[in-house]
Amino acid sequence: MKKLTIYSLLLLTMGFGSCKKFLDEYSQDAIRPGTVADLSALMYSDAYPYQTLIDNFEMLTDDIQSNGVARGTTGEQIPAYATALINGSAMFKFDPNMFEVGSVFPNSANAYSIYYAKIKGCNVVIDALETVSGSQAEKDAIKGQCLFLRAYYYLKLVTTYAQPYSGAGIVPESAMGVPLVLSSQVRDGGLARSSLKQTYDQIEIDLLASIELMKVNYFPSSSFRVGTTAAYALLSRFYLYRALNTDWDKVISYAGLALQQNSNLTSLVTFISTTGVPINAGLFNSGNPEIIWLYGLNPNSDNATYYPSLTINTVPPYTASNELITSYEQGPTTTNYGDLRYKTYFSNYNSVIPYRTGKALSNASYGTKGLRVGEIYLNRAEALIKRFLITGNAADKTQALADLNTLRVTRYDTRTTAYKTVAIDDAAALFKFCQDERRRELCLEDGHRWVDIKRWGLPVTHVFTSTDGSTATYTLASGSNLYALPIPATAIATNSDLRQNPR
Amino acid sequence: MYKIYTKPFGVPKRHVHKIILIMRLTTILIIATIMQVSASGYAQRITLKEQHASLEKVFKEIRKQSGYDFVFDRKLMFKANPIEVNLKNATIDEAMKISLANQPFTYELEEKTVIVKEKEVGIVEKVKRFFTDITISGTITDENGKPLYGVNVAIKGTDKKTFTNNVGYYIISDVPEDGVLIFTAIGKQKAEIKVEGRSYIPVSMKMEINELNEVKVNTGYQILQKSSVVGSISSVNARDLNFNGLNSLEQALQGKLAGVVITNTSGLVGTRQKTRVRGTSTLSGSAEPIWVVDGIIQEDPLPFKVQTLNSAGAITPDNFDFIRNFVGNSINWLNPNDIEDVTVLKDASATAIYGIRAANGVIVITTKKGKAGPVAISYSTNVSVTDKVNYDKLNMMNSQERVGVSREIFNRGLISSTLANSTIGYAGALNDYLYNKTITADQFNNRVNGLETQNTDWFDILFRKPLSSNHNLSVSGGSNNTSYYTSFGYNLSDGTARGNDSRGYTANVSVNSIVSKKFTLATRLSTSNKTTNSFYKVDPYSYASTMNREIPAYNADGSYYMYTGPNRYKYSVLNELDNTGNLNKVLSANAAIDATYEIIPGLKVQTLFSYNAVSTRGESYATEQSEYVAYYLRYFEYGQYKAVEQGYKNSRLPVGGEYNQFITNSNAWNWRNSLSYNKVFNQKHVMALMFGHEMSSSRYTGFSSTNYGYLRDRGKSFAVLPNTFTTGATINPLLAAQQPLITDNLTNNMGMYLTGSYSYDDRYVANLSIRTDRSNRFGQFTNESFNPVYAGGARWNIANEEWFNRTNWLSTLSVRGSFGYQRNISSSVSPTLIVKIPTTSTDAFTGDNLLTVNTLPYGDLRWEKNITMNLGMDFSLFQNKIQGSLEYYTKRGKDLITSLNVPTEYGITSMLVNGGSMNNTGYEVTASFVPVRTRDFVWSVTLNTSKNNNTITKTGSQLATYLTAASGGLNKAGDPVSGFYAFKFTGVDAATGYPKIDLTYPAGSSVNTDPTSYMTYAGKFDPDFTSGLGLNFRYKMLSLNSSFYLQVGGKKFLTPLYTYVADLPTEFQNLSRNILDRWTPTNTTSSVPGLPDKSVAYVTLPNGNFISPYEMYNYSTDRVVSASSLRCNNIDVSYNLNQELAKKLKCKSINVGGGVSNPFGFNSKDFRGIDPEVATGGQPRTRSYTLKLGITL
Repeated sequence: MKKLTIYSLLLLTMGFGSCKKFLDEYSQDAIRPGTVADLSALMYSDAYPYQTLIDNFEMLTDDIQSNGVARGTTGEQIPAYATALINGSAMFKFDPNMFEVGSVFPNSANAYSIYYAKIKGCNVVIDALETVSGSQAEKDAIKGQCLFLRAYYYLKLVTTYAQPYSGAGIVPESAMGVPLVLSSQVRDGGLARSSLKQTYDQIEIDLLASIELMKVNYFPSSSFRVGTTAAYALLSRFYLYRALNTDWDKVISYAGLALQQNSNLTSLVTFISTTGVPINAGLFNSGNPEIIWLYGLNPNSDNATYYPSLTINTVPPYTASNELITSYEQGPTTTNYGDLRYKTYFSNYNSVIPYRTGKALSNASYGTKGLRVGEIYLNRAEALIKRFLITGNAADKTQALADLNTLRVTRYDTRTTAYKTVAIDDAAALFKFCQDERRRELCLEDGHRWVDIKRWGLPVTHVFTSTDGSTATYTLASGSNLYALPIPATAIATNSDLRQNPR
Repeated sequence: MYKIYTKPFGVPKRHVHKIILIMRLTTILIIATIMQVSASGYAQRITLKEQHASLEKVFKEIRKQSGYDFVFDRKLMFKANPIEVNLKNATIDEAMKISLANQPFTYELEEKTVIVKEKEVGIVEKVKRFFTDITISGTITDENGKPLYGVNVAIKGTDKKTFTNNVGYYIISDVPEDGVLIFTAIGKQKAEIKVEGRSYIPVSMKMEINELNEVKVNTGYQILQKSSVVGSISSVNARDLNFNGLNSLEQALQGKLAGVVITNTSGLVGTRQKTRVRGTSTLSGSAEPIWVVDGIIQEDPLPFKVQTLNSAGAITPDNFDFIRNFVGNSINWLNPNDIEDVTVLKDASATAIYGIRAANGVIVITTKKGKAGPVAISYSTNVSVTDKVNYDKLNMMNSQERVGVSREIFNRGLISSTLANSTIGYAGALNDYLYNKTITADQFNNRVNGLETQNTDWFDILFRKPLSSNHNLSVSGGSNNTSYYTSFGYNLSDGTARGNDSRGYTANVSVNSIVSKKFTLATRLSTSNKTTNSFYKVDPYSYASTMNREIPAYNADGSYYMYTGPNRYKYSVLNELDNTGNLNKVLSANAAIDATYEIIPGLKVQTLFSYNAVSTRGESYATEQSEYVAYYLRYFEYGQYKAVEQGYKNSRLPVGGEYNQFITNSNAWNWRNSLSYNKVFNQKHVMALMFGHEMSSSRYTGFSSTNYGYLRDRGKSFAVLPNTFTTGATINPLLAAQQPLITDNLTNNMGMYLTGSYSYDDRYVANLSIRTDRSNRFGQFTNESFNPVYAGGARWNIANEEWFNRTNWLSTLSVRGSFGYQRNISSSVSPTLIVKIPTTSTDAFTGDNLLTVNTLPYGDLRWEKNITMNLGMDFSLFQNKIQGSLEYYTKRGKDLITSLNVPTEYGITSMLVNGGSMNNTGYEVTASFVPVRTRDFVWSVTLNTSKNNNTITKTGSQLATYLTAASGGLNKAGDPVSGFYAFKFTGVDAATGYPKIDLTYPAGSSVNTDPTSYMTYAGKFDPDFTSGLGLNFRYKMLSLNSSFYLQVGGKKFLTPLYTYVADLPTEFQNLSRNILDRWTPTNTTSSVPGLPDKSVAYVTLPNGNFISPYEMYNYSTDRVVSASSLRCNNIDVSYNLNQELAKKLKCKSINVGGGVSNPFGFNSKDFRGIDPEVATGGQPRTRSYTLKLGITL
């Protein structure tokens, strides 16, 4: 009897032990992606720049000036300002070691690793698409979005860390682009930089493919998602940046395709309150039809690094430059504010002086980056002027002026005073006007000014005011080596085949 | 007339029966009655020869020949032994003496009567006998006649039992005449003796045969005789561990076991140590060995966390890692005083039975068990005092020297790139004088004079001489069938840093019982509670050791001196310590039951079940008055703004501080069932087989959260955070940052094992073990088929061979060898893509679900393979005066999974891949010998030594930069694992004061991929050779023990002279006195580089990267030092009070003693007195003094 008990106990143990349930895989949060829904979720988080803090190179441009560190009532330095001054000083002073180990290097300036982390997200989703269940149309839509995003990030990378494609003395076939990673597989060894041409070619291939995949049966559900309009708009930007003589036609045609789908411009008059005060009603409002695609992080977190929250009656260490804010044509009275962008594109200190970007919707927790219709008009106008410069076809000039005026009319206070149409005959003057208009419209937004400075070969002069009030002048020469920003030391350290830009 | 009277007189017949029943053999009565006997006879010589005769027959003969009457109780004769007598013309006296020589009787001659009675005992005994039935007494001795104390004497078939006293004497009553007495004692053969009516049974107990010269080894699964062990096992008895001034078992084990390396990472109280058995064999998983207590694998109180590496290859700790360090390891709950012995299993054959988890070695702890015997109560206590850390050990500048550096900076016009230099110290005074113009030249000079003489002793302010104490009470005892051991411990340890302390309680009960002849049961229940107080966001040691001494700690009025710190907020380390804190509480309960049933002789079934629950709660906080909250969260000084002011409205956290909480509950159970069969055939063939099945499950549930607005001084309440801040009404990001995190982790394992051994004539032993495991770990190869770990070995006990000549010097000799094969797969790697739900699981704008990458697919994933071989030899020399063993092992790892840094372009910083192959070889020597042994003086020496060679034979892809080469992370074929490279320092540039580095490289080097081509091999971080030495002396009752620890062969980089490689040292930093002799424009021949500043010209490395020459200097040959050291871990003296004195104090024994831990050490001079184990910035361990007292009642 006793033996029987023992044996049955033994058997029971074995029975218990072989229980399959006991060995079922268990994890709190891990999943093997099996459907397109899983991959969409993965894409929204890892491929889309969802609430990511990226791209903060305004400090290099002439849109920013340095004011030193203001002192409080008792003469003490304001700590938050001192930190911001240090954060921005290396870039502001064009220090070639700005991204070296040991230099003050805010996280948001490490665009290199941020973009590549997102590219990984795109690649992972694209590679996994074959293995999951779902309809071909759904898969195409996902792949189209990922290709778009990958192209967007590579364009950001190549315009940040490489010389401009059509810059003076640049041979795209041999000039350094950025390393191209097109698969989620990690391989042995380092990764060398592709040529500038290979990089641009890949961006073009991805964008064109994304249009083919998205155009049939995919429409973005909100301005937080990309679709064909975004792809056409990005292509117009891409060809404008590449700036080959053959590219102007492409800029014009893709800008046209984008405008066909969306040509809404926000009339800034609507930002004037019932009491007649222009307010920052938020150009980057997800409900604003001018916005094609919107991403980024709460502008306050985004800006804290360089433009800390205001301390009353004191000048922040960096503000929008005098040169920029005086470029806006201000109206004479409160019934005619003139160029409303001066009042609505900036946050002001002392309620008067423009300070940092105010394009965000107040209270928004999303960012002020992406694509909007205003830029497409400017892209097309610039390409038309360039083509006019080559061919002398007056129709191009007319069309360019028309595009600029179409944009400007929505930016001016037209409540009591009619908008005065701009008419410029001289091609060079028109191009200058177009450049200035682009600066006024796209200031402190998504790194536009820095890329424009580079592709137009402009020099920048900065006067840095240090804590003790002493000033020093730093100059970025036209065509400087720093047009290709140094790759952060942390990336150089991890990739033995990565060559640094000459400094 | 003569008669043999065998009945008492004067007793009515009808009462006889009753009296006999009640009072058999009552000597007093007999004596009373014989007085009435009148007998007659005459003297006569006696001649008698008898063999195997009964005593009664002899008495009859003597009576016949001598005419003496005999008086005795016939019942007595049952106790008589058969006798042999050979008498010739003997007197009656002689005849009686000889006849009773071997009998439990004495006799008296009264006129012509011989009165035979039992041998007299004490009055107590007489009284006892008066009132009880048959009572047996006797003395129990060992084979040498030495009395044995505490031997269990039991009456077979009853509950009645007793023990021998300290002279080996026992008395047991109520014994049936035909009963059987059972004598048992630890280490002795059990004796069963039939009473056969005897009242005196002396026993000589023999030593248990298999205990003869034999040590048993507990592997957790089996108890083996040492002579049949084929693998590599070493043990240490708790007696040889010293817990004075220490608070963890690991610290006490340092240097005690060959092949086990224990490293201290910090001198803080309550932190865990790093334990490695024969080096590291996994690079991606936990490298800690598994700890086993009484056969039960202990699970960590916190789940293992794969460390994340940053781009420079360094480990990035998160907010909760700091708490984690204080939680302790899986045996945290165990009271070190309850440990009986510790055994480490090192090679594959010893650990195979534990399966893949045992790749890092197994440490088996056996706890104390109750011993059959009377209640033994012992109490021990120790009190220790620890030295303070001071500047002598650091060689840092005093105020005057530090002002000198600042003066040079000003005089030479060196420039800083930051603003940090203008608020305090000399630079601050200069700023006020020259820039702010708030002070005059005289005021400036006065202030500088004040700075120069300030010399704040930060160590004096932040550190103390702490008093720690331990109390331990244990009670044990039990009967033949059931024994118990209970203990209660209390430990109070104060760290040398003020504010760092830990206290804990432990309680433990274990009961072992023999339920029946076939069934034994052992149970244990333990609980512990430990509380540790430590620091949050402040590290007193790093502050004290690096802070400029020009800064005072207090104002003249005694309040804290607040200066503008590096973050430009008012700072005082004392204020910061007052307003931040870290508290950890660990409560654990542990229960185990172990039942064994013997089905038929040799065949046993065992079931072992254990349950372990640990609750860990950690909290850390910073109040609103801390600088941390001002700088990171509030953005204005405490009290700077009123609620109506804009600055207040601009803050995300205008009121309150930060509070982090971390709660983890761990519940683990383990159930093991095994069937074992042991059989001896023909006295020569010994066979043992065991088959078992094991299931274990551990579940961690955790909750951690960070909350803002904490008001510690307002009843620990929380202020409500503003929903928006700034005039633009920005949404407060801290609201989202308060999101809690839940951890839910379940690990189930199931394993089956089979082990068998065969030995022939105790000469040849063979052993084979095999085990297979399955688990529920996510992402593992779930479809993997049967995939066992196996190992085997053989042993030859040469000394047991007949031909073996036990010469004078070689007493025993045996050789053994083992081989094992293991495969493992890392749970952190998967061949397919695994995604997870991120902490923020939905898109805040679109409501879409979100998933994020957990592990990237690794298509080439292969199993890690380890092949291990171990050869060993055990010997003893000069009649066991010297005992020792030699071991040699190799461990070949292939396809080991390593975390490699990958190019940033892959979007991740590191990834786990099958990295490469690695060979570990090494030897270990363990020896003990007794150079002097006299009655009063004994000198014994124990020594263990190990040397490990670790070579990488194949490497995978890796990050090749100067930093990985210098930090030992660059694995180069042919180099050891922790081998590192340094820049070639060639001196100081006389013109600039910059260090000069030789960056030349051999022609044809691939400088882009191989930084080692322009660096030089500097050595390795791990020591080659570690050795522990114990010297023990005993003179009479006084003993002196000491232990030493030697490590040779490791190299290290010194902490940098200049932490900023392209900037000035800040006024917040103190500097090493080594730079007193630095290069200056007037001292151009110095070998110490001058001060770096912002203008330091970067140098181009051969691969095109820019680098500061000071960065290279920090990793140059000039900064490499030897980490070899010899340290005395402790010296202890103890004295046993003589027994008589102890008895007067009503104790069995009293022991008093004292000792010193870390009394001295010899390190490389370059370390300047700092322990090399913590030279890279951790807090050093300092000397501590202990007094102890032990009492047994």
